[in-house]
Amino acid sequence: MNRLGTVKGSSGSIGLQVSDVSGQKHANAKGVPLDSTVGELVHGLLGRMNLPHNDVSGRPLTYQARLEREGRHLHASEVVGESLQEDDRIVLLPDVDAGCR
Amino acid sequence: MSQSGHRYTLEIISDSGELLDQLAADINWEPPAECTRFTGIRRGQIPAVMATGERVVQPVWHPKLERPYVCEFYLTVFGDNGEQVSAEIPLSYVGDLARRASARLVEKGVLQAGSRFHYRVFAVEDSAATQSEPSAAPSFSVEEVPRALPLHTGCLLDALEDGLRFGTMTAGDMPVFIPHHVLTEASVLARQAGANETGGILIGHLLRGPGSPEIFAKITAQIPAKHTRTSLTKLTFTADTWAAVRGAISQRGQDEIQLGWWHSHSFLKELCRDCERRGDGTCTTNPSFVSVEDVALHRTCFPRAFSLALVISDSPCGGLGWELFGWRCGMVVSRGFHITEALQPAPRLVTASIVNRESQHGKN
Ligand SMILES: [Zn+2]
Ligand SMILES: [Zn+2]
Repeated sequence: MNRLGTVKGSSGSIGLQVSDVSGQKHANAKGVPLDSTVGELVHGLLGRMNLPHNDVSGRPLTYQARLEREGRHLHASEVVGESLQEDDRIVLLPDVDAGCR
Repeated sequence: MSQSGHRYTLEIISDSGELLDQLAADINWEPPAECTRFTGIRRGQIPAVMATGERVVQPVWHPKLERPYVCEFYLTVFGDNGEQVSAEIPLSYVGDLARRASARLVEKGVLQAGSRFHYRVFAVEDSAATQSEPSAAPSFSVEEVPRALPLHTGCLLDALEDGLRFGTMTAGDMPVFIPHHVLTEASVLARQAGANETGGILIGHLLRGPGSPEIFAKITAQIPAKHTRTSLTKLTFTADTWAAVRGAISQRGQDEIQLGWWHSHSFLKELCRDCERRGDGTCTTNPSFVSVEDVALHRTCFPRAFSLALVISDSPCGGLGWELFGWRCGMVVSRGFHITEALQPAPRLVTASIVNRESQHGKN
């Protein structure tokens, strides 16, 4: 395994399995604080999975975290400890533009 | 961890040789490293595993401008057991950075819109120039999980025999096979969308034969993109689009993976509606390209080196066209492919043409 990033631990935390939209990039997130929000979780995952934060104009890209167990997109304001369980699988799905400029 | 060992600076120069700007080049080495790794997998030099792994980038000094100016980069990726694969990455890899820098100069009025400019890159040794963990990381750790490349067994020679070459083939590109019906389906959808953009996802398999490490891609189907937002020059794939695609792949149950995407460029149906150059065939507008946004989408959603992007272009002056793009040296470039199932016998058509010919002879 290649360590992509690490920081301070947390006692109230869980581990998650994460994949990108292609289903071809996988990562394990460990020590995700139960009191963090899904928005914070997604933000923290992007850089360390080498996924862009912004579009070509510099505007933030919107990513939905899809919870495979329930087959739904999590809301950014949902709290990890209330919506997610240990070892849940989430997929990061972006709203992304094709264009012809 | 990836190491560059150098810091790179990009210089923008006017056509008359005046230095217009100098800026730190924040080069994303992941796409060329991914391409290099995949090339190594296709040569059997490195295990068929999807992983980021270790990499090192070295500058190659420019023969005329000399050190510290760079003419290309030498990138090496490493496998877990000491295997290594290297590739020369052309200076044009930073062309996008240079174009963005030039656009800012145009905004500032330093460079005139449409005027020519040049760019060059110099490198300064810096042992601290190692991409490491982001400083503002949140309070959890993330570890990549390498996965085996999902390879099926297939015979490349059989596939080549069945295929019809389309576009310009470049040595070193992974062979790609697309059934004629997939191209037709996408083209019909593009026509139905009128001047607006539409698109879909290309799914299929990666295959490897028993006697060779070479890998080839077979598209099996296209899944029309649902839940998109569309306009003349923009197509937004939403989270719901991707969720629907995942559902469709799972429902098909054929162990397919997302190999790429397609979308249409039909904006010339508006722009060339009253084109004065259509009559004499001199209209040269070409909608067959990938835009900056298209490349960014490809990088975000299809980062693996085998991923493909098909552009269906449609214009009143040029008609309908297909162009396939894929990764090469970390850049998204036009590439050739093979059309399969294109040469099906068509007995009715043959009969019809004979009847026609006979009737024409009858008139003469
Ligand atoms: Zn486009
Ligand atoms: Zn025209």
